[in-house]
Parts: sequence; C-alpha cells; structure tokens
Amino acid sequence: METLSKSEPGTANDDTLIREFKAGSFEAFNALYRRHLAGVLNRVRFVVPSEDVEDVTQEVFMAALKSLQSFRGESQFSTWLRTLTNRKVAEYYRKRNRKQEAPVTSLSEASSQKDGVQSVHLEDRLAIQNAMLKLPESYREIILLRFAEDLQFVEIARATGNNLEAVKSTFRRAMTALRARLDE
Amino acid sequence: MNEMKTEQSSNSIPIDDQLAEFTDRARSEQTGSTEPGANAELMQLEELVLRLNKAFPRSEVDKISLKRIQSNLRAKWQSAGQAAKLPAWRKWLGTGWGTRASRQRLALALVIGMVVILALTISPLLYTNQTDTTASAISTAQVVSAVAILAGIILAIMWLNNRR
Repeated sequence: METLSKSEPGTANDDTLIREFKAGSFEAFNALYRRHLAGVLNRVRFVVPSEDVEDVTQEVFMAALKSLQSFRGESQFSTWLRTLTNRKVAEYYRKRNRKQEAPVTSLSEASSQKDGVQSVHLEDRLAIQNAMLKLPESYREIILLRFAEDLQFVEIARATGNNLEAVKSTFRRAMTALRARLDE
Repeated sequence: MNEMKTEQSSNSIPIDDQLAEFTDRARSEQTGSTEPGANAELMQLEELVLRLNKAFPRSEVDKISLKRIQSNLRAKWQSAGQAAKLPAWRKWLGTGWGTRASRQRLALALVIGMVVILALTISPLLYTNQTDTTASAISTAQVVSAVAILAGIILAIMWLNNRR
C-alpha cells in the first residue's frame, strides 16, 4: 500500500503531499506531520495541561490520518489542521468534564514538579491556560496564532482573511480580555 | 458624539500598532522589559506579552515525542491498510482483538452460533415426540422457549452494553 513519494518531502508543498498521500504514500503524510507538528504541539501546549499535550497532539494527527482522504482542499491544510486541533482540544475537555475532573491540573501539582523559577512559570502557565479557556473563540484564536504558532501579524491577516489593522485591533482587545480574566 | 468616536479610534490605532510591534520584538528577541514612555494601558499589555513569553517560551519539539507519535501513526496506517484487505466478516469482528468492541462482537457471534446449534439440535425432538404424551411435548417446547428467551436476554444485555 505504501509507495515512495515522488517529490522530496522537505520541499514539496502541502497540496502536493496531500495528493501523494491520497495516492497511497505514508511518507507524504509523514512529511506533513513533521512540518506541522510544532504548530499543533504549541497550540495544544497553550490550552492543555502538560501531561496530556502529547496524547492530544497524537489524537489530532490520528484524526488527520483518518480523514485526510476526504480533504477537498477548499481551505489550506494548515487551516484544516487548526480546526481539527481545536475540535480535539474541545473533545479532551468534554471527556474530562464527563469524568468530573478539574478542568486544568491543580496548582499543587505544578508546584510539586519543580522548585524555584520553573515552578513559578508552571503556576503562571496554568493560570494563563485557565484564563485562555474562558476567552471568546476569536480572541483565543488570535492569541494562539501569535504566541503558539508564532505567526507574524501579516501572516495572521492572510490566514484569517482580515486586514492588518483589524488583526492588530482584535489582538489588542484579546490581550485586554485575557488580562481581565487573569485579574479575576 | 461622532467626533468623540473618531478621536477614540484614532487614539487607539497607535496603541494597536505599538502593541503589535512590541509583541513581534518580544517574540523574536525575547526582550525582557516594557517600552519606556508607554502609557498605562500599553504598559500593562506589554507586561502581559512578556508574561506569556516567560510562561510559554519557544521550545524545540521533543525528538522522543516526535518519534513516538510517528511510530504510532505508522502502526495505525499499517493496520488500516491490513483492514482494507480483510473480508467483511473479519472487519465486522474488528481488527484488534484487544479492543472491547471486538471482544463484544466475538461474544455476540458465539452466542448466536450457540443458539442456532441448540435450536437445530432440539427442534427435531418437537416432531419426533409428537406421538408421545402431551406432557413431554409441552416440556420440549418449554425448553426451546426457555432457550430462546435466554438468548434474547443475553442479546439484549449485550446490545445495551454496547450502547454505553
């Protein structure tokens, strides 16, 4: 079933790799995975407790592997993957809530992991994760695009189809809202 | 009122730009201090940018995680490939014997098989015993009914179990 990729995975664009995957190349999917792993991992890391980040990331790529055959290319692959990631994160919290677990790892767990500066960062990370989850979708999304995926504002404008001024304005409002949530 | 709105929006544009510029700089240079001379709102937002940078510093993808997920994806791909070649009955039973669903399907298949065999074994007795006493005929019919009810109960339990 597996065939050799016709193009160099490192240089081929996403569309070419998707075509090759649909023709039966796992290596093409592997190249997509290596290319987009950091973005997915960082996005998940921003909103999911650290002990579950790898599992949720794996879930995202498992789902991508399963449904990429039906991907029609109406949007960019990165946009599709972003939606899939958000869906998997939502699913993760739905399952957690069903098990009646706390929404985010307790602070005591963070402080028990390591002493000193790193512990303070972990506590802060948990506080930020909690606050992020309470933000409206559009605000959370723009913060994730800038901080988790490290996209420049111009790239965010291109990815979301908005103009640069609107992106910057939304970013400012999102940061103001995040600050308010952190102060609650 | 309109003038006020215009004034507000023209005042807010530079803050949007300044915050965006500061964020870009903070992300690329990992700067650790806010801009001198920034107004209170901008300074608070810059502090938040730095806070996010500290809590979520740029990090390389852990190679062990990368390999682990990669090998799990490959395993899934291979099992999906094998599943595509399987006959329909094998697909229905499931590809992984370790999973709860496939064990339930196998148990269901066994129960159905047992009921069929039992029915085939007992049903001739109904006809051969027709000349015997009424009591023994009723007794055989009762056995068949009891087996059928029992099988029905087992199937109902398994169906409910599957739905959970």
